[in-house]
This record gives sequence, C-alpha cells and structure tokens, in this order.
Amino acid sequence: MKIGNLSSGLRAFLGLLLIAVLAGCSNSPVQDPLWFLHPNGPIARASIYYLVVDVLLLLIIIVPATALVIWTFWRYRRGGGGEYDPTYNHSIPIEVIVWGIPLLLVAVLSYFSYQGVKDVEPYSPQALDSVTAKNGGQKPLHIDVISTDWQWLFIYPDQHVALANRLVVPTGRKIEMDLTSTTVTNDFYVLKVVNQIYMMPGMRTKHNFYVERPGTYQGFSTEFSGPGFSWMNYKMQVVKPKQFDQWVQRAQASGNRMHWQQFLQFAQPTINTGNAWKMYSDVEPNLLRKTIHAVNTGQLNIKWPMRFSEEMTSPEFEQRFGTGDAESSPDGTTADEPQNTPDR
Amino acid sequence: MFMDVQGPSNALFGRLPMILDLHYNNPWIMFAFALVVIGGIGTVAALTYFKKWGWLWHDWLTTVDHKKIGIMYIIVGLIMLFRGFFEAAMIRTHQAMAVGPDSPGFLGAVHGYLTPFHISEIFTVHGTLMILLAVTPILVGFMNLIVPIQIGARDMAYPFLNAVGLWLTTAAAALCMISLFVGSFSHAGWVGLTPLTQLDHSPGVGVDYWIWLIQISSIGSTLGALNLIATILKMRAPGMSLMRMPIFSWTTLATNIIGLTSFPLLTVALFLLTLDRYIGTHFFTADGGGNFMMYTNLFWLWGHPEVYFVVLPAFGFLSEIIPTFSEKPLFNHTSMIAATMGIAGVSWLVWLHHFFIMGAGPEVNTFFSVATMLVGIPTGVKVFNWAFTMYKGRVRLETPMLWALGAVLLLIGGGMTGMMLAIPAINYVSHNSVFVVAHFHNMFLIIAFAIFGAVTYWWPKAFGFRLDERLGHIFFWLFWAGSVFVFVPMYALGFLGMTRRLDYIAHPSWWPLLALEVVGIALYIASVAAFVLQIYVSFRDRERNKVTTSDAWETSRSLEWAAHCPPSFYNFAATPIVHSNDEWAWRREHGVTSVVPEKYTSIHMPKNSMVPVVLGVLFIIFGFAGTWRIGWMFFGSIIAITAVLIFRMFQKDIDYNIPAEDVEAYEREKLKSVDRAAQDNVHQTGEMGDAGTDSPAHG
Repeated sequence: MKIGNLSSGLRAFLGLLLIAVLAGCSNSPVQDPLWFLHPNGPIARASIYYLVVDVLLLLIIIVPATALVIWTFWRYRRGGGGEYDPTYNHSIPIEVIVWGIPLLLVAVLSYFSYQGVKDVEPYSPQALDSVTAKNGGQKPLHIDVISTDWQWLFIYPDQHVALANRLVVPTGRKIEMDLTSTTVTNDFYVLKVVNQIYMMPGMRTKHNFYVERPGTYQGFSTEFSGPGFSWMNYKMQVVKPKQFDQWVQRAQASGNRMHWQQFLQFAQPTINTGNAWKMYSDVEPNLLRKTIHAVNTGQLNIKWPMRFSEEMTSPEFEQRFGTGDAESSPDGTTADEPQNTPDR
Repeated sequence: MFMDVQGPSNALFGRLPMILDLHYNNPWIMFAFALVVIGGIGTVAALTYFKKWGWLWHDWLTTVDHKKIGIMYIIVGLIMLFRGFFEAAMIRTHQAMAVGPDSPGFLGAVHGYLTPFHISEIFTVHGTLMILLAVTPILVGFMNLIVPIQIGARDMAYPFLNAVGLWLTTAAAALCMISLFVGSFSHAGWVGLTPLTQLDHSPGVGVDYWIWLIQISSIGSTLGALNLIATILKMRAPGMSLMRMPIFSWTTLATNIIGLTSFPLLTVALFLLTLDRYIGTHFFTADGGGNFMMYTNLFWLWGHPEVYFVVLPAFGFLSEIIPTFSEKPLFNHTSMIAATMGIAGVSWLVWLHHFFIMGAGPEVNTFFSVATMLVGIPTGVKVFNWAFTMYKGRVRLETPMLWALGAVLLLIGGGMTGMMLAIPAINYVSHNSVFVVAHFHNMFLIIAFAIFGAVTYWWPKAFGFRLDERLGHIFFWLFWAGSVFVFVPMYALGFLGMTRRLDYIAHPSWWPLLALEVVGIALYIASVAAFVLQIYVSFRDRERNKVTTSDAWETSRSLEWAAHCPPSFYNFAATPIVHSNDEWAWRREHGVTSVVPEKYTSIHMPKNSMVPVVLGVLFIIFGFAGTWRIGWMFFGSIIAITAVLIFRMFQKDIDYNIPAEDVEAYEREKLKSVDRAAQDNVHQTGEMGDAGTDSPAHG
C-alpha cells in the first residue's frame, strides 16, 4: 500500500523530528511522550502522513512567498540600492503566476484531501482495508462508548463487561465503536491512536480503528462540556490479545453491576478529579441504544445544579474526591489493572 | 418568565435575588470592580472639573458626524480590547499554575487561582468580546472614519442610523461590563454550542447575558453594514467609478455585504435558542425532536463569514499602508479587487470545517475542505501583490509600514496552518487543540497588527498630529516578541495534544511551554504600556508633531488625504472630482494639491440627535431585563424603544444648511495652519481632468 511504503521513511523522519524537538522542551517522565506525531495504527498514521504531505506541498508556496516579501523589502528599502520605478504597477504574467500556481497547488491538495478523508473516514476507513484483509475472518471487537457528565463508560457488549474511565483494547484486531453522550456534546480522542469523533446526545456516531503495538495512551474529550471537562482524562491500555482475554475474564469475575438504575446514578454530574476507574461484569444489554432512546424521549434529562455553572468556589471537588488519589475506583475499592506491557 | 428556573426569582426583581445566594465575591471581580469604579469616578470628576459635560454631550454623544462616531467606535473597541487582553493574561497565568495533580490552589480553586466555572466564564467572555466588541467596533470605526472621506462623501448615507449602530454596540459593551459585577457571564465558550447552552446545563444567567448582548450588537452591525453598503454604492464623488475605488473601500464593501447577509443568521439562531431557554421550545435540544446540530450549522454559517468580516478590512488597511510607504501604487489594483471579492464569495461555503469531526461523509467533508483551501488562493494573491508593490519601490520603515510588514509575515504563517487544518485527515487529530487556537490567534494578530498600523497611519488625519515614532517602534517590537512567545509554544502544545478550554492541565510535561507563554504575556503587558505612553507623549508634544499639510505622510495616495487634518465636519468644502485610482497621488503628480475650491457653496448637513443615545440606554435596560427575566421591565423597554422610534419618525427638523460664507470663513481659518502648497490658488476640480469640467461640485 502507498501508505505502508512511505511510512517507514516517514517514521524515520518523524523520529528525528521528535528527538530534535523534545530534546529541547520536555522533561516528561513518560517513556513515549505525549505527542501526536508517533502514531500507533494505520488510521492515526494516515493522518500524520497527510500532515507531512500537506506541509511539504505548502512549502512550495510558503518559502518563495516569505523570501519574496523579505527580499523585496530589503532590496527596495530606501537606500537599499534597488531601482525606483513607480510606474511598475501591473503585470499580466505575474498575475497569471500568482493566481495560477496557488490554484494548481490547491488542486493537488484537494486530491490528497479526498484521499485522506477516505483513508481516515471514521465509519469505514480505507486505511484499515489492508489490515482487515490480512486478519481474515477475525470478528471485530465491538465497544459502545457513552460519555456522561463528566465520565466515560466503555461497554464491551459481546464480553458482557464494562469499564468506567478506562479503556482496554487488544492489538491486532479491528475495533468498532458506537458512541453517544448523555447530555452535551463531547469529542472522543485518544492521542496517537484514535482520531476524533463527536459524541452527541440522542445520536449515535461510529468509529473504527486498529492498534498495532501495546502501550498506554491518553484519552480525553476535546469539546468543552462543562466544569468537569478538564478531568475527563482516561488511560487507554493496549494489550496483546492473550492478555486482553485474561483481562476480560477478570472483569467478568468482578461482580459489579451496571444496570439502568446504576447507570442513572453513574450519569449524575460527577467530576472525576481522582482519575478513578472501575470494572463492571453485569451490564444492562443494549445500554447505548437505551441511552439514546431515553435522551430522545426526554426520560434521561439530567439538570446540572446551579452551583456547577455559577459558583466562584469549587468545594465539591475536595469534598467528593480529595485530590491526587489517582488509582482508586469511585467507591474506594481498587480494581484489577490489566498487564501493562511497555511500548515497542 | 415562562420556564421554571433554578434559584430564587420573583415578579418584581426577576432572578436578581439569585446574586445573594451564590458566591460571586471573588477577589478578582472585586479588583475589576474597584478599577471600573475608580475609572468612572475619575472620568466624571474630570468632566465636571473641566466643565466638559456640555462639550461631551453636544460634540460627541449626540453627534451624527461619521468621523466622531468612528472615533467613538474605536475608543469603545480599544477599551474592550484592553479588557479582553486582561482576560487572556488571566487564562495564561492560570493555566501555567494549574499543572499536575500537586499544583496548589488559591482563592477557592483546587488548582491555580480560577475555579472551573470562573475560567470558562473568562475564556467565553474573552472570545465573545474580542470578536464582537473589540475587533469589530474598531474595524467598523475605521470604516466610519475613513470610507466617506476616501470616496469623497459628506457623511454616511444614513447618519442617524450610523449613530444608532454605535450606541447599540456601546449598549452591548455596557451589558458585558455589567455582567462582570452583576451575576455572571456564559461558561459555554464564545460559540455557545447547544445543548450546553440550554437551561438544563446552563441554569444561570450567564448564557442570557451572552445572548442579549450579542443580539444587541449584531443588530448594530447589521444596520452598520446596510449603511456602509449604501454609502459606498450611492455616495461616491463624481469620477470615482467602482474600479477606481481604493482597496480599503472595496474591502469595506465586501465586508459589509458579508455582514448584511450573515448577521441575520446569528440573530435567528440566537432567537431560537432564546425561545428554547425562555419558553421551553425544542429547536436545539436533544429531546423533543430538537436538532442541536442545526444550531452548530447556523452559528458557523454566521461564524465563518464573520472571520472574513474582520479580516478583510485588515487587508484593506495593509493595501493602503504598503503603497504609501513603498511610494508606489498598489500592484495589480484590479486583481486585488478580484481577490477581495473572491474571499468574500467563498466565505459562505466553508462553515462546516469547524466541525469536520461530526461524522459527515467523506464527500461532504471534501467539499468543505476544498472550499476552505480555495480561500488560500486570493489570500496568496494578496501577499504576492503586496510584495510586488514593494518591488521597485522606495520602502520607508515608518511605524505603520512596520506593522504592515509584520502582518504580512504573520499572514504567511497563519495561512500555512490554516491550509493544514483545512485537510480533514489532519483536522481529525488537531480539532479543538490549542493548535487551532494558535492558528486563529495568528490570524487575529494580523488584524491587530493591521489595526495598530492603521491607528498610526490615520491618526494624523483624525487629530492633526502624528504619533511618536520611537515609542511606536518600541511598541511594535514588544508586541511582536510577545506574539512569538505566546503563540509559538501554543502551536507546539497543539502538537503535544493539548486541548483548548482547559481549567486544569493533567500533564506536567507541558509546563515549560506554558511558562514560556507567560513570558509572552509579560512582553504584551510591556507593549500595552508602550502604546499608552506613545499616545500620552504624542499628545503632550502635539504642537511639535503637528501636521501642516493635508498629506501627513507626504506620499499618501487616496482621496482622504485631500481633506484637512483633521477634516472639517463636512469633509470637503467642495465635492472633489476623481481622476484616478490614487486620486491624491494623481493630484500631487499633476501639481493640483490646492484644497481651496473655485467658489464656496452652501452645504447641506444632518443635525445632531439625542435619540441614538436614548436608544442605547433603553437597549441596556432591555438586555438587562431580558437576562434577569424581569418581565415588566423587559416589555416596558420594548414599548419605550418603539415609542422613541416613532417619535423620531415624526421629527421634521433633522437637517440644516451651512451658508456659503460660513463655509468660507471656516475654511479660511483652517487654511491658516496649512502650508503653502495647499493654498495655491489652483482649484481642485475641472481643468486637469475630464471628469469635472461640466458642472461645479455640490454637496
């Protein structure tokens, strides 16, 4: 594939770029720093590929334009030695060039834009064609994602398990997602792995992706959704298929319920300052569809208390969770962490 | 009024009792309140001490003179710009403090010194105010100040409407200031996407303030657009065909066509949202058959054209400044007109690129991607034409030219990042990141640079003396350095994955870059000080910096430089006849720089009116009552506004004639301070061209 061939050279180039930039400005303790230029999986990689192509093509115009502005200023500044000719104010050839070349460039970019959007189109990304062909008959892993105020619920319907504020996926398997939200719009985004898609209340969007290497990634919402927005962070753990199966078994044994009643409780405005997460084994079937239906019919209608959107102090942060307790679950018990394999 | 609202409310005071229940007693708000009160008392005291109330009322507040209205627009805009800048400084310092789970919290916040609600309020007001109440009024102010003179008109087509527009904008700005102390502002971002702005998720009055002030200011903008289009199309001096019109007037025309067609969309979208919030309709809700993505579409259908509404006049400034200081006509004048209208034309076709990630199909996204990239073509043409204007020129690096050059270089950077974001495949990883924020601030900086360039460039035209050059240079370099320090790290943070509108930064590795941005803010603060000092010093030395000719820069090109500095209130003693694209340059080259007309005639002028100010006050009451749901006051103000408008319709005594001898006396007085070239007894019309030979000029 076109992307596959170019990607090795691209990765070397990006690796260099990464070292050059991060050497100067990051003291990150994380092995694989936050940086969307080190993609995992064909879709995220396709995005970065088009980023590089776009920038390189743009430089064809940007560099001469910058040079021209600086040179004309320098050469023709008063006392700069340039010949003064105020009658030179029109030129057909220049007009043809300055309209024509950008037009050609936009035409080329439009081609890449169309190819790019087909490659990373969330509903049926072309970039996944090669890997799904390679994987043959393996059934995609289906995950339903519901964003609440201001937490995440990831439901694995086929495995009958769910995870709050933590996402675990296996490598080497296509993953299909259905997404919705309970009250306001959020964006689903996992840096370097999954591109963005809106999650809208009362509507369902879809996402497809594929991850190649194990690792831990940062997921968050990118669409401002209220006071708990900054704390809508979760870890996405990518594990080998075997470890994933082991984890599913552990999750199935956890015994926590997420039926409609519990979900209504879960969906109440909650700011997850402690980055708490939890596993559920007894999950309401078709929870995503029920949520969408309930939102559309007004049955799930969560009103925010006034103090969430009007208070100048934030007592509920400290009262509810304290700060900095990073790895406990919402009810205080610790959950089983899937085996964490380092990246690469 | 009709919806059940959270918190206390009653029929007499609406929701006002709410402010007693909630904690609004933040030290920052107290500080701002003290600042405004001290400023207000100081102004009132100064006006009283110097006995200037009459002067303020008769010469300024009730005026319908387009120049004074323009200056007042710019003053309102600059005050709002200063407030918006203050908010930017708060956002930047807060974010640099609220990094990582161990970062300390102050003033009731868990991290940093602003609570989640407070900072979202601040970034919302920063966005709303910078676009609608700072940049827009400043640009509209320049259009008011310059365009009628530039096209040789006496005033705007509808001088009274012009004043109404100003006072509606001022009313919106006043509401914005009131929201700082009474209640709160919206927390939902300047775009106010539904369902976040619905009553369920924004139960307070913040969103209502936001709605009413935008409604009031956008009525003002729509009226202003109508007025400027009529002025440009119908009131040009004889000889000024459309193709001879200077580029700034062209960009004004293009901008206002955009404004006239797009602002009503915003009005409608917000009106429907108002119905949702006040009487419980379901236009933009998730339930009840509502479609909130329709709001997103409608908002950006206005929002993206609005971007060009503000950037085109800035391009117009550059197109006036660069030829003047290159001592050469603008390169490819016709091509520049085509580029301007091209940008305006495409501006309606690109709105969906603000939400590429909503899940539209590849064809839809490609259409909007290509349309967005098309904008790059005329923009690129403009850059090249400005470069070729300098080519074979004699470039002088006076302050306006410095700003213009900076703006052109910024445009190249902003254009590049814009073309990156226009590709959906890239947008899927960068949407709503601070990369986007850095991009559009880059574009807004172009506007800011162009504005400061324009302030320096047209200052002598408006006030008769020049601004201090040395402090102007210092201001420029500090501002430039501040921009680099704030926005280069911000671009980098976008690549690191930082999302916009964060209250708390979960990743400590971002701290160094956030700290660099604070350095940039410090440089910005220094630059603001330099600007204030520049104005003070120039005003102090105004006798020394006095301009003795109508042509303050000696190489200016358009018609406004044929009027006095500052222009007489009727602009030109006799309507000028236009012979060329660059009329003033043409006259200079043909030695007809005299501003003494052949003979003086009487001039027909509009009378001052207090109706616009009264309307402004009534609209403040209207917006305030709407926000706090005080029914009697709300409907009372609507009745009062209607009554005032009817009163105005029956006013007959709205204009007067200045007799020829008064004009002559006034002009002779003016001419005393002007150098000899302007007084040569060569009249400015007829003879030298073909345009004005058959009829003498009349107002």
